[in-house]
Amino acid sequence: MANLALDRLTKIYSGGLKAVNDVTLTVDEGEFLVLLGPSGCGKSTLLRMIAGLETITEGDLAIGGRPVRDVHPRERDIAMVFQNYALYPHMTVRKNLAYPLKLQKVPKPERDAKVRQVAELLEIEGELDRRPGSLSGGQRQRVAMGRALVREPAVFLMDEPLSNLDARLRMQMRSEIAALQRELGITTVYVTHDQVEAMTMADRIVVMNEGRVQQVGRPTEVYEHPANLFVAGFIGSPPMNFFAARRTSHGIVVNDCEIETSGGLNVDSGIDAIVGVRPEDVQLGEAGTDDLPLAGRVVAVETLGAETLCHIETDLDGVTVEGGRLATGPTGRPAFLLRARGNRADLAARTVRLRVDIAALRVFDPRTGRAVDVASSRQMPAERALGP
Amino acid sequence: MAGFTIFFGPLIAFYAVFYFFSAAFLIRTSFQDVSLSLRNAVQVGWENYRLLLDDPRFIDALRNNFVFAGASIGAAVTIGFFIAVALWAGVRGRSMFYAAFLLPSLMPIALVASVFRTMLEARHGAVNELLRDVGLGSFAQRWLVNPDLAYGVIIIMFVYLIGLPILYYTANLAVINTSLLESAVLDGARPLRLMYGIIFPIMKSTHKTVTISTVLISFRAFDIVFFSTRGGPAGRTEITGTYVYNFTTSGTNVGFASAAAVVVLLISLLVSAIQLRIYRHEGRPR
Repeated sequence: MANLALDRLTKIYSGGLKAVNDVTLTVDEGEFLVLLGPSGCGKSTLLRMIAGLETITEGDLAIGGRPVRDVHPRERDIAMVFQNYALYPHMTVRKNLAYPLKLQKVPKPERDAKVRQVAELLEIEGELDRRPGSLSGGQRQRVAMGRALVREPAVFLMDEPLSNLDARLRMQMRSEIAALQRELGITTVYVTHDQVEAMTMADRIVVMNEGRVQQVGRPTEVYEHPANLFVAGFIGSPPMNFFAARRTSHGIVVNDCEIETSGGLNVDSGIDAIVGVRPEDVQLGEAGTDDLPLAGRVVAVETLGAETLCHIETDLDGVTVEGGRLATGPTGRPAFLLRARGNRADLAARTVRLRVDIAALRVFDPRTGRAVDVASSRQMPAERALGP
Repeated sequence: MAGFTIFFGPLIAFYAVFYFFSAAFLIRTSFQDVSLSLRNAVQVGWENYRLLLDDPRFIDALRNNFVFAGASIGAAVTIGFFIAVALWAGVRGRSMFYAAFLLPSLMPIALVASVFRTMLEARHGAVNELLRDVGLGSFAQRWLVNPDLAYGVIIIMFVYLIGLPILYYTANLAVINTSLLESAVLDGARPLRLMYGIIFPIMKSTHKTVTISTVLISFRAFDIVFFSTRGGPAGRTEITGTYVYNFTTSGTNVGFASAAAVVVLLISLLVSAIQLRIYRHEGRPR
């Protein structure tokens, strides 16, 4: 076990492509860190740089305090689980598990004991004499995990290890891997594009886009307080609703609601501010004193069993955010998403009244995309809301 | 039906003339004592076969076939494999090496063999001239006259035509699962270990392809021997192909040469059958 320190890591490919751009991170001993981002965001490259499978163009890397930038992968004391498991097809499960120990010249009796121990831990004792080709996806996954665990490495790296499994198995392995990691306390860096995996497994999530770190934080922190438009739009399914807002002297105004911001907002973009709200923070019903009242017409209903997604056209200036940038102007008018409990197919085509918890509103600068701190938010006094 | 005739008709005609007729003709001749004029044939029953199997030169030729095929296979799965991996792993001037190894296999074997013969000629051959020029004249040999040396030269020539196996291995390396190798590197495997512990065993199906194609090629490699030593000296490098040729062209008894050809045909069929059986028993790679 060891901690991991990444200092301004940068990877530039020969064509000039900057795959990883100035990443500084520390992973604590025993921590489960998840690198999350869309495909091509540089998360896998970053993981491979830690493993030593990609060279580091700039920056430094230390494992357990030891600088390893120029250390060969096999000397770094790390183990990695690959997306396609990378099991040796010509070896039995037993030999696959023992291979790293054999290369470390661990004596045979000790080797056998460790293999048995890991096989028991992962419940694959019955498959030890089978070849990988005859195993199911889940069993292969376990063998791959076992081969990494058997070495007791300083750091455990996983590159989308669950993406080849079907949905049910993925859910099961998700909790098993997380439980195993906590039990063994191995420092782990886990790459995924699946935010559910990230939310459920991670101690901390690193959200990446275009080679850069967008936000680092605990799962709830990243979900509830996204640092910028990219994180706000990427995390959460269905995604956050975004709409444009008007700027005032000390904040912004959305309909009848005033939000005072403590950070600065840029003025020269087409709209004054972008406000985001999660679909679960929008509710049907009359607004109370802490709510933003809205009215709208339900244009589409998706019933998912336990909940219903309602697409609602409101009088707000809806905007679309893609890759952390404003994609369409206020004229785009995307429908507002609302998450209602139970089966609400009856809402189709109806006009509804909505209330949005003001405290759940997130404000972003449209030019930089950064989140703006909200100092206070309240309903406007009636006389100001009505206007002159 | 018309379509069948159009597509398969020429093929059937071709097979009828060149395979079935010639095979039947060969088998019929093998039971006759007949000159190259193919007239006045005398039926001799199994006499040609009896004489053939009593001829130590024929048995030697058969044995040589297997030795040369074995040398080819051995070189293909060791040297050929090694060269393919080394070039794939990144050697400077890679394309130049590919050209050097592949070109001989793309040229007519007759040409390659003739060039070898010219270079190894005892008095004015390039090899001996070179040895004498650098002061190693004592190492100059009668390469193709000394039976043991000639034997070695033929083996070297079989080994030299290693281009095709390299091509097969290179093709397989191009589609190899690289995370398998990366995983082995992280597990602590050094380059040599990676080569014989991981890459070699996972290329099993390519080894099979290489083995079968090499056997088939070396059994038919009449031109390598014919254009260099003609089976000499004193029948030392004779293979079945040159044996049959020499007896046919001597013209005394074509029936005898036919019997030899029939035996070689049967042995080839037997070898193919054994290989197919091994193939089937091992099943398809998963």
